[in-house]
Amino acid sequence: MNDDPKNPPPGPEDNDPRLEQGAVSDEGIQKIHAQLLREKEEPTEGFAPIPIFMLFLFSGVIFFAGVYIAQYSGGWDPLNYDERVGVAAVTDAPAAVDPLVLGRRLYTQQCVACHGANGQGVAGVFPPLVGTSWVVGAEERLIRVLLHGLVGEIEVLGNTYNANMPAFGPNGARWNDQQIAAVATFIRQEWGNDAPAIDPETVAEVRSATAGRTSAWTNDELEPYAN
Amino acid sequence: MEWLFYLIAFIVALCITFTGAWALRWAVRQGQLSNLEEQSRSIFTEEEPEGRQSDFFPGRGGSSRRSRRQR
Amino acid sequence: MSSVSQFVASVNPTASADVGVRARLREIDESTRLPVLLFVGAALFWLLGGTFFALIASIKLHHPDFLGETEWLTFGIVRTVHLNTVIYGWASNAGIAVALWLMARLCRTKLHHGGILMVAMVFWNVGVLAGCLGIMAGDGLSIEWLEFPPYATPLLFLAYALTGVWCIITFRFRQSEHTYVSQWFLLAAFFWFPWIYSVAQIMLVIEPARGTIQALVNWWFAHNVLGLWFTPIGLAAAYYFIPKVLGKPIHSYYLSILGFWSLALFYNWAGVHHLIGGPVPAWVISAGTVASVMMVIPVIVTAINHHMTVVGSFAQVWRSPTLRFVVFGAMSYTLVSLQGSSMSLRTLNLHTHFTHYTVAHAHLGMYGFFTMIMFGSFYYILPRLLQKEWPSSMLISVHFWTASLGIILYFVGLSIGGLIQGMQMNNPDIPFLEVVANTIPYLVSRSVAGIIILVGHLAFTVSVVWMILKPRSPQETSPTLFRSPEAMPLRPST
Ligand code: HEC
Repeated sequence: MNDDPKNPPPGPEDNDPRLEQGAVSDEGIQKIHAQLLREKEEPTEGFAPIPIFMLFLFSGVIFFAGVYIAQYSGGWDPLNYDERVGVAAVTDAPAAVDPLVLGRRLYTQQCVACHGANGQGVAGVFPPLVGTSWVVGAEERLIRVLLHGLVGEIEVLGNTYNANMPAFGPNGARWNDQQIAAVATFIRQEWGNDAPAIDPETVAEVRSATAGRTSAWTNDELEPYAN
Repeated sequence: MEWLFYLIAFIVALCITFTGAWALRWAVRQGQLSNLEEQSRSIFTEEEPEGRQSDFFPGRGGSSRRSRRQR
Repeated sequence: MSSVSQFVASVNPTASADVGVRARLREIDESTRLPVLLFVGAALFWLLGGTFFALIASIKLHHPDFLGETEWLTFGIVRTVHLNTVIYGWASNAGIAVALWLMARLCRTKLHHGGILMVAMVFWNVGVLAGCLGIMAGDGLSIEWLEFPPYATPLLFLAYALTGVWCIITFRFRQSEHTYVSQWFLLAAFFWFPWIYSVAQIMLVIEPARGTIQALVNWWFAHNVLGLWFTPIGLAAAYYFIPKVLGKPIHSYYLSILGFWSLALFYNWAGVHHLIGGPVPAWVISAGTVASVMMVIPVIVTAINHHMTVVGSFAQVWRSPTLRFVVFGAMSYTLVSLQGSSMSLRTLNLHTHFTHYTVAHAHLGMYGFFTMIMFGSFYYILPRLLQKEWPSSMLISVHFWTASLGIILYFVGLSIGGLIQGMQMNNPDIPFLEVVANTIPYLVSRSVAGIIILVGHLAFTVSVVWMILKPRSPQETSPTLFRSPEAMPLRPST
């Protein structure tokens, strides 16, 4: 191995003093190296055996993989996204959405920042939602506020507020009827409020009645719908 | 148009797989997979032989200066 | 015309004059000096840049106002630039540098056509720079790991093609009878990367596929950049340096070959586990999960092999800067891969998806494993290229301790934070904002870890620059390697 005939004889560049040391000791190394090789070399043709515990481990992994893919193949159906279901055809209409659950989620995402986690608002800036006629009162006014927003001075529970309430309908967050209805129902029935639920059909009616509206409402405009 | 790209991607993937298989066959034919214990020694050379550590923190593990003085 | 035929002849091993001459290691190292040093230099530049961007992004997560006024320093941009600089700038440059050096050494042949490599290096880094500036200017694409604007891509392609061609030329010129396992890994990496990169470019940027196929291709690509490009290079280095520095052959060569082929078989299926819960056919995701679990085989094989090689030589490991880093990296590889397999199971993924837990995992892979191995490799390669010793043990120690403790702090902090975050996000009673607020202490710990790591990177940079600048001292005949052999104790043969 070491005395490879292909090895070049020491060339002129090997006179480099820096290398000399190395060259001198090369022979010594080769001797030791040869010894080492002689000691260790027991040509083992073919494959050394895998440790037995590894074989067990690998069998276990392969077994697990087989079971897993069989269990969660979803029937190998390209249209089936739910691994727990065998065949896609079985899945029927989506489960009905609980407006209170959806409403709570929407509220915590979009309204808490202003009206607070308990619907108390922020004194002087953001009006409360608890016990106000805007919330538990007429359905249509509340829906209009949510669809298009509210500006200008308003009175809530004896205090006046004058700021902007953003729109969540076509000019704002583009919520659909179900979402508007859910959040409205949620605020009407949370924190001790106790008003009847608002259903998506009512929202749809108000939406079509106010179609084309692009700006937020003012207190005066909504006065007719207050009751 | 789109299916064309899928087709190309698929063919390329087939080529890759094929190349892998070919490489494995090449390795076996070349004897790369036999006498494995000796082959693992192919990283050692006369300059950096087996049985000797070849990297230290600078100045530790026996310095060149010391060896010069000994000489 | 004749120059063409000359070139053809020069890349044809049988036609060239020096056939049959096996160069000595020292000559080989010397022939690779310039290209490898250039790649190392570029890698260091991006390492520092990437670390700074990482820190800014990290601080922004707990102090959103920090640098918030500057348009090109908003979180979306800073994080993206961080990712791309460390992936394409640092890790790829470092990987190529180590791969070139290893390839030449293992093929026992001097570097041919090093000029190709320097052109490649320039193109690659101009490409990365253009890409990063493009992202900062707002041209970035919204595709994970492929954010570079389209005008940066051709440069990268060209550079890559040149490097790949060079790699094949070197392999054809090899003077070694045996193809060592590291060569397998390197060749495979150079062969796989263009595949995944071009398929991703075609199907996502040039002619975007429809619907969820985009997501599938995207994660197939992003995961395979790790699995089929960085992992093979990292493992190639580990398989070379651990036995090489210790001076004893790898525990079981058979296992290492088995590890290579099983990795080749399983890794490229695994990326789909990123889409668990997404609108992708269930069986595709399950197949990805199964492949991720099967990755246990190559990982355990590699882990046992490295462990059995090192066992009984821990003192030697401690004495060698290279091995400290490489062994740390190899251990991280085992840990991160097993963790990855577990995260691909739907039951655990339910809690870890979209949390900082995933981020911790990614950094354990890219930093704890790959980057640490690259550092270790540099500690071995640079003295041999420059024919000088490292200037200061102290700087090396600082680098090792900051890097290792930094990444451990990073990983532990974010993993815990991520798990808590995941549990809380799955609990509808806890408002989202509260969950976010609860992660802040862990995000701060991440920034602290980032500062520690930055110190290490500065120490490393100082080390390298100092080493390059310092004159070769006349008494010091030669670096670590070329020390008179008698002065070094022979390892008692076992
Ligand atoms: C940007 C802050 C902000 C957000 C977000 C917001 N609001 Fe308002 N809201 C206001 C302000 C300000 C007013 C008072 C408007 C005025 O002064 O004209 C108001 C008024 C109201 C009113 C009528 C007054 C009252 O207190 O009864 C209701 C009902 C209401 N908001 C419900 C909601 C709901 C439901 C949401 C979430 C879908 C929501 N708001 C989101 C700021 C906000």
